[in-house]
Amino acid sequence: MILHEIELLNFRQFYGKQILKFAEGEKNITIFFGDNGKGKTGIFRALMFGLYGSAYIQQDNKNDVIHLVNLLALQENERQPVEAYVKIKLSDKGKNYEIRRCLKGVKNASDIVEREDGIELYSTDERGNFSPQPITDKQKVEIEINKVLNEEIKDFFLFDAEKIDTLAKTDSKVKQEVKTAIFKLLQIENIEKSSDVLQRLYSKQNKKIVEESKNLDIEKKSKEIDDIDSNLSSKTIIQDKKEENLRLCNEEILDMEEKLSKNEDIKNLQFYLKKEEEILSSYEGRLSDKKREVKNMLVQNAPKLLLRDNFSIANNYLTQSTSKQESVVPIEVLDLSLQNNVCACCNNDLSAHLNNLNHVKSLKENYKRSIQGTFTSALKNVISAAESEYDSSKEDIYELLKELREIRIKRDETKASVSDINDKLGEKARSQQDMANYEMTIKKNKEIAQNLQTEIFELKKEIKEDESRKVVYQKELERMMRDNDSLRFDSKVLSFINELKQDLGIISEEFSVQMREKLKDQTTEIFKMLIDHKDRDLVKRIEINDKFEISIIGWDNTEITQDISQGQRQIVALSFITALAKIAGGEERKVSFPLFMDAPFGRISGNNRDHLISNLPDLTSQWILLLTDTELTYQEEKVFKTTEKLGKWYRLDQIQLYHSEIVEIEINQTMATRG
Amino acid sequence: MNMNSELNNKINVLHEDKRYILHLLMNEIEKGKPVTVIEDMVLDEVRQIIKEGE
Repeated sequence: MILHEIELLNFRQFYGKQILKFAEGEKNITIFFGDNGKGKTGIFRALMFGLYGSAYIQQDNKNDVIHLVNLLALQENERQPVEAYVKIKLSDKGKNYEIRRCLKGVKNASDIVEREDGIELYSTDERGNFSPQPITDKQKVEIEINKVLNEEIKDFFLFDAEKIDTLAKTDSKVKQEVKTAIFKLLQIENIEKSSDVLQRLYSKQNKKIVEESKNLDIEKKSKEIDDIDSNLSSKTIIQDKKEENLRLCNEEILDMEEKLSKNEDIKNLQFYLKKEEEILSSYEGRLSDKKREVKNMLVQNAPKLLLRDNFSIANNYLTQSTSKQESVVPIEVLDLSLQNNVCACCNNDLSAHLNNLNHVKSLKENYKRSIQGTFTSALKNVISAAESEYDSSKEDIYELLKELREIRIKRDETKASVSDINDKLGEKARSQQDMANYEMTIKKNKEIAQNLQTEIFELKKEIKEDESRKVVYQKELERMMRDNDSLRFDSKVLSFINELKQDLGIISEEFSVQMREKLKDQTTEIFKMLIDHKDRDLVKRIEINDKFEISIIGWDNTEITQDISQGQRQIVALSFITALAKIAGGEERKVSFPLFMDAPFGRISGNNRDHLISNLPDLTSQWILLLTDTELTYQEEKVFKTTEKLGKWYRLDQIQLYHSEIVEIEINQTMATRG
Repeated sequence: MNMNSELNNKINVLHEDKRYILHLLMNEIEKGKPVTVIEDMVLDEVRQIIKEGE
């Protein structure tokens, strides 16, 4: 399909008639350059409306009203009908087409009413002559245009920025779209439909023959096959449901894991909190042990500690009392002195000195033998022992208390840290709650997924057994029919249909595998061509499984579909589209559809843009781009010009409100306005 | 119908009669004809082939 020209009359921002020609051939790039609101998306919308009659494009909110007739023309002709149309000239597989879709709009005060006002499709015949009468029936036009580019897969070639974003996603809707595109473009859909037709035909014929046979054995065998069929059908439905549930389950796991990974801050904080809480708990344990140790030691040494001061008082007292006792003249001396009447100490004659005698007598009378002497001495020994014991345990107690204090300080510091982290987490309390829920859901879903996998495995085994049994029964039935003369002809017809059905099944399987292999290789090759050099080795290959789902395999053979950037994924999407279209086009070197892109570079980094610009024109027959000033800077302009593929260069100028004009610029002129 | 060349190669290894029916079937599907019409058409052709074979 080649787009040649688009003509607009009073369509969207384009007041009056404007004609745009698209670049084709060797110089196959067309660029429309303009700021936001100047009408770039209006051109994209015109193409969608012209080809498929749709007023809405991917990025629109379907609840909003989209006015297609130019508002300035409506204002100038208030209460008068204003004519608008989009005319597209294109060609496909040697046939030329000209489609014109018309509109009428009327503005009454603040109300605008629009309606479609006819459609005309002219096409050339085999000799290249245009039909004198156009096709005007909407449905017939739809069939013809769908033959050129099926509406269901148009988004793979004519896409806005929203679409390229969507294609880069990995959810089930996109997977289904991808599968639809592959099936349509590679004609797998037709093979499947053909298989269905043969299956229905086989069943109908089989039923008819059995009814006509009036043979109980044949009826019985047929009934047994029907039972297996119905069993197979229910099992297949259950298997499909389980596979769908498994897919949804895995999708949810991926979604939750993505959300969790996005909240890396909280995750790190939670990890840190968990560590700190473990440390705190260890300190609490150690503190408790140490307290117990201190308590035991105190119980053991408390009397000594409490009596520490009394030791010295008691010791002093005992020492003092012992020293008082020592000042008294021993009783033996007094007795001897009184017995001899001579002082045993100084030989004083006591009989001559009555006073001295009386004094010695008085000393004897007052003399109190120190009966506590031994006790005092023993007590002093006890005190001395206790004192030395106290001295040795004092060091231990000090050491223990020091340890206790150190643990307590560390415990308090950790407690403060835990509280600090909790404060930080508290600010993100909701996210924290969500994360806990996500983690729980992931765990739950993983269990469900595992159970589903086991159930699916068992079901598949049963289905395989049933199918083998069915083949045996069918052969028996066919033999029984062949043996019956009146059924011989019909049974031959039935066998032929059955064989054809089986052959088509084998063809379908082989073709599907072959196409998938080609698609994988082509997508990988194109990706490596389009991606920046430094990222080339990031992706080892792009896989497409038997359900036609895309996955990206990294250099170490792990799946990285979810791990690469959105920009890189967009390049994967582009590579896939290009590969798909190339394969669908057969042996052609280039994609046989134009790639029409509205604002495609938003998420793609500079180096990757340069690579795309340098390499994509060689892969597609036409590349039509709608770019803003941030997408077409001096750098991109330089690369576009270096390719020497730039064929048409348009700037969108706003003349007044609701009036944009498309101005063709000389290729050697400068368009970019930003560095 | 512009059939994919690799698909065409696979169909072409079949017996001529089967090849004819498959091409007919896929062409009619491509044209968007109702399934019941296609079924009748295919059945008629198969019966014709078997008849000629006898």
